Amino acid sequence: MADDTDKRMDDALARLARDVNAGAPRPDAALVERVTDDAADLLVADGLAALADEVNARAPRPGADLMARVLADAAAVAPAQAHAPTETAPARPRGVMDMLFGWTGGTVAGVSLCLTMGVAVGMEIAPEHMPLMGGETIEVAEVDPMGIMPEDFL
Amino acid sequence: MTARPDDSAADRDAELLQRFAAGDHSAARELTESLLPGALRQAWRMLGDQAEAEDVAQDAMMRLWKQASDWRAGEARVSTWLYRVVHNLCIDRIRKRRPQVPVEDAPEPVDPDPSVLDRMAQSDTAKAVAEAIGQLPERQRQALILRHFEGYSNPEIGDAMECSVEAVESLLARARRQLASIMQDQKEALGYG
Repeated sequence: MADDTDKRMDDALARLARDVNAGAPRPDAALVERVTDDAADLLVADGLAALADEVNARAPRPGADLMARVLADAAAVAPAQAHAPTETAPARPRGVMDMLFGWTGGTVAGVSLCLTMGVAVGMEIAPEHMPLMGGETIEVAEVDPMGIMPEDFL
Repeated sequence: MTARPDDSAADRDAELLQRFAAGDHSAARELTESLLPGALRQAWRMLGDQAEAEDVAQDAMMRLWKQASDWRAGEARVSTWLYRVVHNLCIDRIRKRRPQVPVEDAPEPVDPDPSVLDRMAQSDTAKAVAEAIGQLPERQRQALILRHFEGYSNPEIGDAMECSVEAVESLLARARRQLASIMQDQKEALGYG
């Protein structure tokens, strides 16, 4: 009797499950594609991680010899680096004109000033007072070095 | 995955390089300890030969020492600059290994040998991925390796590959799609079927 009841109960539940499942939505093509894509992504991610782990585990590490070679190269380059001109190179001494007009402007202004002063001084000195070699003037030079004047021959 | 070259590490490298340029030799040791392992690993991954990789790493570091006094802080990360130098030195060596062909017949750009990764992989999964990576175009492969093997961020990959972050995102997305497509066929062999 009890067995008969159990069987009827099982049959009823099976029918109910069939009816419910029959009405359940089926995954559409887009959902199937998304799940497949997820699986493929997982496959790729797992595979990439496995490959990266294996390859990096086998990769060589720099040994003492390579480290020494690289550091020796650095030491060979370093003196040249240390002596390369830098922003801290000592500045060129600056004059008053440099400070007033800058380096190029100061040079031009300085040369112009010297020329102007030279011309001005030159115009103030009479030709006969222009100094010659040995500090003599033209007046003195008109006398023959041996003390004989042209009129002495007349 | 290796240590990520984040911003603080980048700042530290730049500071060390400036100290080296100013004559501080202890900075050279710190920089070597920080940068040489990555340079060696990258060269080895591209060339598949340790002795050659060591020569390339040493050469790249030498170029860094020579560049130190002209280094313009803030324009590039030291680590990504070194990555580019190592990459170019490896490409030169790969090019020399190949039989000489007339310039007009030479394929451009020259790909690093994709079979090197394949040889380094041990497990079936890793071998399958390495084989799939070998089928990717060179730029996609390079971006993928920087992301997954070196742990670079997208801006750092852009810096290393001299392209925009958007271009990096696009390269990575296309690479992953293509890898997934290739590996779908291998699911069963990998135990996912």
